[in-house]
Amino acid sequence: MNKKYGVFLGCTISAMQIFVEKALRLLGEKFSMQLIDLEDATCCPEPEISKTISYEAWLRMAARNLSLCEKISNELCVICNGCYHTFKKANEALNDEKLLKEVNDKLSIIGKSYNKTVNVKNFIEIMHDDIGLENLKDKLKRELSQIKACIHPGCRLLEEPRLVSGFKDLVRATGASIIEWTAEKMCCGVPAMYTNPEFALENRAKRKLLNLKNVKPDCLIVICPACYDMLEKAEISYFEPEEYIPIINIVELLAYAVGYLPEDIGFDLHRIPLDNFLSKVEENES
Amino acid sequence: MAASEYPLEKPIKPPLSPAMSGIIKNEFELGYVAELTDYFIEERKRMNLKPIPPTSYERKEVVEEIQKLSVGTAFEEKAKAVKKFKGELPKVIPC
Repeated sequence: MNKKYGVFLGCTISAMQIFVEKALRLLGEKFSMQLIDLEDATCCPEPEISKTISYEAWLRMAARNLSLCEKISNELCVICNGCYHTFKKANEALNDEKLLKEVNDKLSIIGKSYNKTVNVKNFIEIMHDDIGLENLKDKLKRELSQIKACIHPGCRLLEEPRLVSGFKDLVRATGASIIEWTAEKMCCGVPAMYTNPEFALENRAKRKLLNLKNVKPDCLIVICPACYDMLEKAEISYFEPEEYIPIINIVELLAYAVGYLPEDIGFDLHRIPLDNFLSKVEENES
Repeated sequence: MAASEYPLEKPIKPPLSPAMSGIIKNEFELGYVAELTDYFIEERKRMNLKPIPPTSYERKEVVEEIQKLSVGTAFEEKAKAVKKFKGELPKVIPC
């Protein structure tokens, strides 16, 4: 394939969920994708607070990051739901020529400009459309058909049904089956953490997890690092270790399914151990 | 500029919650929201990743660009107001 992508990992993956970054780089090798870091990138900026405090500053900073991508590739690979939302919405807003000129006037102060040539792509569409499900299936080394998973797409992904359906296709391509659950579309609670942490944890994350535990999947598959962090923290805060349901990012799931070892990906860095999930896969292999 | 896409995306009125203040402070002064701690720098080395990503985590000088882009916006105003605040900000919950 050998396609070149600018990669924007954002704060949380780079600083805390490095197993997702590692899994992405392994998939890049496996599928011959050139994944090039956006050097000098800053926060996307995050859409919950920055965008509401100052739309102008949010748009200028997003355009600055997009201009960095433009120098590397016209395709930007984004995993985090928040970063994806920021770049997608900023790019759409900059279709307005007048607004683009206003933003470029500001970017010129720091010696940059954005020509609006970047195509913002979610990791899901890269794997689903650019790599392709058949190509992915050809490279599978592990049989995950015994795994029953629930998925949590996250609010920002739910805005684009094609990505949710692509997410499900990727999970199913590994052989795993998806169990429907009533709280699948419920917010994990992250945005409310900024103003009312008690409400966010008690009325969102905990309620969502209680519903998940009724379904008893082998794992919960997410894509958004913020949702991952929130749900993992809530599981640890409210439940006993024997009740934990492992949470796995789709990027890690795919890296594992194409044959990388848990230690290659960094599964040991999860605060909720993946032992039960791994034993179930290994039982089937032996 | 048009600001809002969702009914809930309304301008935030002061005072900002401590978590919001922490986010604005980190973005304005460091260029990112979540801190990269020594623990994860070591773990990144163990995982054969670049110990510090070549972003504003490594290149502090790019933060100046963010500050220049923020001039005259409510973002700059809020960031400066947070800076004047003498109390202790809580650790930022990464978003």
